[in-house]
Amino acid sequence: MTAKTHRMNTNALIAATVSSILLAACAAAPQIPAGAAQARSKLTQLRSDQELATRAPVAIQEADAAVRAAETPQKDEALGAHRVYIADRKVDTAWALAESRLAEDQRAALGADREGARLDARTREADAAKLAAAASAAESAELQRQIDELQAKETDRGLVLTLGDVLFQQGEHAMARTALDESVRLAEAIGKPLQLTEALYLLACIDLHENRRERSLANIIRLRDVLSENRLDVRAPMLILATAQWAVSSGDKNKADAFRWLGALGRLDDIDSTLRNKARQLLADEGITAGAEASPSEAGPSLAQLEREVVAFLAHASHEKEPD
Amino acid sequence: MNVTSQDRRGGSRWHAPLAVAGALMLAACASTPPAPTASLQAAQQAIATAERAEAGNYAAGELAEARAKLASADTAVNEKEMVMAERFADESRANAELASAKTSAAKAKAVNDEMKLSTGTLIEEMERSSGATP
Repeated sequence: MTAKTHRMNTNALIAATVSSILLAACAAAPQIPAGAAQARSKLTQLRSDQELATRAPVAIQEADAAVRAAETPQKDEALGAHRVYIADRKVDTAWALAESRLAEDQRAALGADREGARLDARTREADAAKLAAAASAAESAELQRQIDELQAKETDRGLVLTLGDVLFQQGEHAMARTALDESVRLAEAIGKPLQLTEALYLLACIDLHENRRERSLANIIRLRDVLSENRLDVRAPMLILATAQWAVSSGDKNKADAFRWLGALGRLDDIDSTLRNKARQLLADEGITAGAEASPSEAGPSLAQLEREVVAFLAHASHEKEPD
Repeated sequence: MNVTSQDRRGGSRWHAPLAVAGALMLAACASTPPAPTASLQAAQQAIATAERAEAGNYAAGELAEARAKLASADTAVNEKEMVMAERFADESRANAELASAKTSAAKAKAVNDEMKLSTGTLIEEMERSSGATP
């Protein structure tokens, strides 16, 4: 009897010990992982941003789910840390996506601003051109003859605009410009980006020769857009040259802008980096006279050399890789 | 005595199946869980997407972390630590997706900045020209 009682006491003691151990284990309550509160705070901040909150709804929803998972009290510290890590990245991802879409939405307004500025520049120049045209009826007749000469012709190589012979003859820039405007209209109407880039480049040059600087710049910007939109990397040296010419004629004031433009050309990457570097060098070393403006003809041999190299590059490229 | 022998014989009938079941359960517990193939592939895919988007130029830190986490996941798989491997793979994917999103935002902002610059230059040039030629 005594032995049985002793055995029972021993069993009770073991049961009590095991129960205590189990209770002690349960007593360590699960904790909310460290860092979950920070993730929640970032998400709340994103949601309260009026410009961003509605722009990435799916990503924000995913981030919210990840943050809720991270906030779940967790005994497994490693799992808790993992969930916080994921939640933090998800919130940052949602934020970045919302910012990206905000920038895309703002682009329409920026494009409208730019179109407005271009239109303004063209309107000013057109008004000036009208005044000049009205001054000379004889010039109008000659102008018509030039336009007739420059009519577009369809050939087996595509649309050919006969521009070359009259462009840089002394005193005929105005006529050539008007004819080129017509060429631009034609090239746009029938979707010929190659011809459009040529006409825009030549317009930019002529306008610069005539000191129509804002119009020249508008044409350079437009040339850049056409190159980008149509991925005409092969014609990018035109843009390099036009930008260099424009910057050289501007003096120091626009030097920084020209550098940035040349830098932006890196996007049209497959273009000849040597040419781009030469243009940069030209701007850095020679054509710029502090505080003064020089016409392209005064820019010195470096600009002429660059021009020759660009022409050679284009001629080579037109044989090697010009699209149809 | 007879009853005891029968009991013993009856009990021994269950010994073999119980032993087999026990062995199976032990074997199940001892076997390695499968590698988290789906998570690893998702991470690789996310890194490839980020690389195509040129994340190396715009979110190099996040992309590097994604690659490092994927390497840790592979190591964990080799060491049969499949739970850790899956966590590393998920963390790798989260980093790669963050790199892509940051890249997208940086590119979008750069385009806008360039548009602002060119428009500003054009307006400035017009104003200068207007001042020069009233």
